Amino acid sequence: MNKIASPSFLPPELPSQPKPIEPVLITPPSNPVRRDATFAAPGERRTRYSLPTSLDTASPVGYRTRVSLTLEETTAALALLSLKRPTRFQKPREISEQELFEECSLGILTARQSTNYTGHRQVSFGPRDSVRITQILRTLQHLEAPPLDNVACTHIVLSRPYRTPFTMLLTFIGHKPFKNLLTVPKRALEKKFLHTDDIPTIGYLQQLHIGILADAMERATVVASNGERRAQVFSAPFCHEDNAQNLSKIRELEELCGLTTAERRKGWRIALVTQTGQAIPEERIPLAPELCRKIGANMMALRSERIQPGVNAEDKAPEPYQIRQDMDVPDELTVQAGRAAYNAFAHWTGCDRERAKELMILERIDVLTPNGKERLREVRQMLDSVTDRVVKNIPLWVDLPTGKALSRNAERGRKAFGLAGQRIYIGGLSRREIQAEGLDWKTCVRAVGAAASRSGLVAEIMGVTNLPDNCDMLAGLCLMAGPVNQNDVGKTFYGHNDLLDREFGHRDPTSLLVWTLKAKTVADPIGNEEQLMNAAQKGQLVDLRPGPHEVIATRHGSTLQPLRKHAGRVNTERAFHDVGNFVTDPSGREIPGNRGSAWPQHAARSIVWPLNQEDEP
Amino acid sequence: MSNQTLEFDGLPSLTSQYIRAFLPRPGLQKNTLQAPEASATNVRIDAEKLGQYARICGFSTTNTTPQTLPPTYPQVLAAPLHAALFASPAFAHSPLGLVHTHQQIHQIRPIHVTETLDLTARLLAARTTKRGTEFDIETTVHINKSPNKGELVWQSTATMLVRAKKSPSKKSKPSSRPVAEEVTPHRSVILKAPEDLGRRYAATSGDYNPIHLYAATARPFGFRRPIIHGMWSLARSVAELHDDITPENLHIYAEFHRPIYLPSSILFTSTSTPDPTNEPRINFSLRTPDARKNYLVGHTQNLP
Repeated sequence: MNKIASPSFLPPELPSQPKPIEPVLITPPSNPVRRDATFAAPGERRTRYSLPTSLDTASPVGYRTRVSLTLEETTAALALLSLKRPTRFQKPREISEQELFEECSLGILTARQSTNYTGHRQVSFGPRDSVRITQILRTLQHLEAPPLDNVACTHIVLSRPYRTPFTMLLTFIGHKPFKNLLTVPKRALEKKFLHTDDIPTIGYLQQLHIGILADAMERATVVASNGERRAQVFSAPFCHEDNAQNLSKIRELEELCGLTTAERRKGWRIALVTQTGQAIPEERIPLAPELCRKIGANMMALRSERIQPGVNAEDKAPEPYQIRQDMDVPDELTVQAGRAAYNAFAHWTGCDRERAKELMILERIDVLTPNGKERLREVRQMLDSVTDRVVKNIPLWVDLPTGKALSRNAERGRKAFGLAGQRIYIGGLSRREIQAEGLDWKTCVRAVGAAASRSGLVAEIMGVTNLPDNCDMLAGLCLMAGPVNQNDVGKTFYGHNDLLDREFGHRDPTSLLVWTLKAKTVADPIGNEEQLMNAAQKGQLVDLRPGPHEVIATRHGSTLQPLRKHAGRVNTERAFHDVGNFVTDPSGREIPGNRGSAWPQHAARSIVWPLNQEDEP
Repeated sequence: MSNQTLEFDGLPSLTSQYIRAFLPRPGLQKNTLQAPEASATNVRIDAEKLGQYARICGFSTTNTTPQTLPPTYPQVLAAPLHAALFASPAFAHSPLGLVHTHQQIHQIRPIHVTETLDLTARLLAARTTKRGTEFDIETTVHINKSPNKGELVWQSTATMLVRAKKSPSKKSKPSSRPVAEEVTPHRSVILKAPEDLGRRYAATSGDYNPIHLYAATARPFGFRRPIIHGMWSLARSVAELHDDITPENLHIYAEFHRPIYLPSSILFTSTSTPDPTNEPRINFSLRTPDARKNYLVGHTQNLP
């Protein structure tokens, strides 16, 4: 065991073991349907239900389909949902460029689902730099666990405040008439230079994303290495509210990452550090290489599923979206999803698992029950009333010259904040209780993000278990912050109550995320994915899936090299493409450009940081 | 056909050959194709230019120069000989307006960057087609130095078309043959051809034909924007297939269908077809991103 220079980390061993997740089979309906999107015929107008004409992207994702897992494979894969921290690394082995690419594809390049923003990037270091980084880490306060020796690779993730067109709109919300001529510019300046958030939950959104990414990075290392490597993620030292003593050391890490003053001014900071290494035999995760390929390919296919057939499809949607399907999220699945959420919260906060169940506030709305329907109507009304006030109060001096763009966008929010699903969860925390427990607020917010995405992953994995050929999926997840943000607008500016107040008002709750579990067999319209892949179709509230060269750099000596960018050539490989899960039309015709092209083998097989000459680029 | 031979020690300057070729040549005999053979001995590889070529065509993703020549490189290397042939008074056509329609390459074995080479280019008999007069240029590469002196390592046949003059009413559209039946591609990717690609490729290949450089220099020749060199298109395709082929006894065939205007996004696809007697044949194409029109189609195969 390594010695710790400063012993102020949270308990290195979890006080309680994570509960193993058990598989739950979902029975497909007697008449399953699937998306079966087709290419628009020549002269026919393309819609969000038509297949894209082509794909031009450096992202490893592409348009993918889910891959069926057998029950045995799912049972093995579930080990990924209750990983414990590694206690030791073996002597490192050299990592190929291909393995690094696949690890990053499962991590920073995909972890954010559809609510992404260009607010994360990563610098990766080899074993020699990792020694220095480990030394620095050991001097930090609030470490979750002791940093380990023999690190093969360190990923430092940088993050900036959450800013999108939606947050730009927020600048104009909640002002008084006439006074808004002064208060709007004041708030805009504070946002730009002091990184002040319009409403608290926008600030939490950055932390939620980091929590989701942290959880994904732990799994990514395991899947990319067929269970041979493990990851140790440090998050708390970089977000803890009492981390003044860490700042000088964090600046050292920032210098290693090449973070410039201009970038710091824009709010870029280190969000987390992940160290990976060769697992000791007893901590290897027994996953067959073929299974890891299937899991990886599935991870590329998973995304937010917003449409519940027969419930919230638009009128012009094709028939498969219009018919209510005779299937339901089994109760046992919600139990397992909850179990995974509590495992994750305990893992990332270091608190006891039973205590995690008490601290995490979860309201479950079972839409299929009368009470659930009533509650859902109430939530919708609450959110709609906020939208009404927002639209009414937008300063006309901004709205009119922009052709009412702001009020139109605010109206569009009604659809974005719409809730549909068979199980709806509203997750949150009580700041009062977190403080009383001696935990850090932001660390816990991150843990909620991790918990929500991990519980969703339970549904997504079960949703591909024994997947029949005539189905896209059996269950899916939609993770949303929009309803919470809209509620927060009501709380901050119009005196509304928190979404969780009805059930948990006595605990002074702060709602943080909403997620819905859906049992269905038809995937969302491919237009939703196209928003993430195609700049010409980009929606206002989403960012494109990035290519590795855009967000990842590897450090060699003193230089930073973008991953998979050279001589004008950038990545065109789709991660885990060998599994072949690419979207086609019903006749099997592929979307041009979707399959991608594997990165040249001589480069993909090259060692990123040769152990004997690591500094050479 | 005359048997006149142009011999060079090392490669002649491509620019000077081009200037000669494009200048008016009195005594040209229209509708005949008579030209000598051109050869260059003791040709050494310029490693820096080779490195540039490898990067611009996608053969290399590192700063290091390849140890062996990409299979399309000798065609570029032999370009001064081709220009010398066109500049010969015996060549009966102006090189302006020549269209590269087909290219075949047979690489017997990979050529090491340190090997000294003898290059020979010769014109083969012309034939009249519906589209005009077609002729082939055969190029061979032999090893110059012992112990392998005289070993044939590479040969190619480039087919060029001298377009027949047509009456305005019969102006034909570019070939719009149907795109090949879709089978599951092995690779399917959109490649970028930026606006300056023609100039950058010209700097490495020496082919400064004005149609490849700027819109202003391409327009007088009937192109609204600059077009990329056909050999870049082929080289970029072969580079994309680099991991799917072995360099020994490699056969490459390509048909050029349409010019690629710059800048462009180009769809590259490849599929593999089993061949009972040989290694699998890899078909490839460059097309418009919606896959409706072909720029180039071809195949590669490792022969037994």
